[in-house]
Amino acid sequence: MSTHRRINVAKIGDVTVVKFLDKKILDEANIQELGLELFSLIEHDNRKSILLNFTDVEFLSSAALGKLITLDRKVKANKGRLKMSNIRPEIFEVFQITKLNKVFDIRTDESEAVAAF
Amino acid sequence: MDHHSPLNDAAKKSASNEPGSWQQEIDLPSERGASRLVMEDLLEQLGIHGWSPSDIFSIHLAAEEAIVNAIVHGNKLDPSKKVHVSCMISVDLARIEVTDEGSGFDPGSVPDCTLADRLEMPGGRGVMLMRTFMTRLEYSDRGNRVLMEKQRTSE
Repeated sequence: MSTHRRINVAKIGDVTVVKFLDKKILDEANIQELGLELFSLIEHDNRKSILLNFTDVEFLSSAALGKLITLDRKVKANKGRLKMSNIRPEIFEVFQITKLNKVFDIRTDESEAVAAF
Repeated sequence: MDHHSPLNDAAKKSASNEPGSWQQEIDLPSERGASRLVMEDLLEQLGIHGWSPSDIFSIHLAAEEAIVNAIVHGNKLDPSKKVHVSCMISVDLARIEVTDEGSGFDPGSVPDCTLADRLEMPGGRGVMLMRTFMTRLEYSDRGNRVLMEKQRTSE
């Protein structure tokens, strides 16, 4: 089992639920580390159903968006499914502006997202 | 806060307070994470001047993207180069100018990341977010300086 410094990983049934430990996802070194930890869920642990729960996340930069896009591609390539939930309005606006709300499967809260897998 | 870190030694600040507004000029080192040397003051001053959380989010995001671009793409993390940041905050206007010592770029050459064939590319969203979240965004001819302004959103 690998140790995580940027994320908290739990399981609800078959769904891997990821929460972020940073309120502001903007430090580039942390984003790099975040990317590696997220990617290892697929490349190392072979998780198929992943939910990113953004509760507590107040801010994220475009570099963080890049990691989410790469994660989404890796999940799809591994024939898995990725969903996101609990995104506050300001961050949802960032997804809308960049049209990533059409790429990502975004749900209101964790229970709705888990039920949708 | 550690006042002996290289980041703090390298940063030079000057702040002045005209009535009703706050201004700061600062040289940041070309290191990842250096934006925090100005961001804490900037966010605090936006709060003091009564800006809404939503506007503060927008300005924070735009300033962060501009400074990271200057450090990483402009100065290419060259320790001999600085990023100059000039800020002015009043109750209804936030103006931030970021200048790097790089060779510049053509902002028109950044592809539209929302086009279907680019939607899943990991990079190239910073400038678009800056343009959307700020009222005004202008690059110098060479492209090594960006001026951003935001008018306070009426409630």
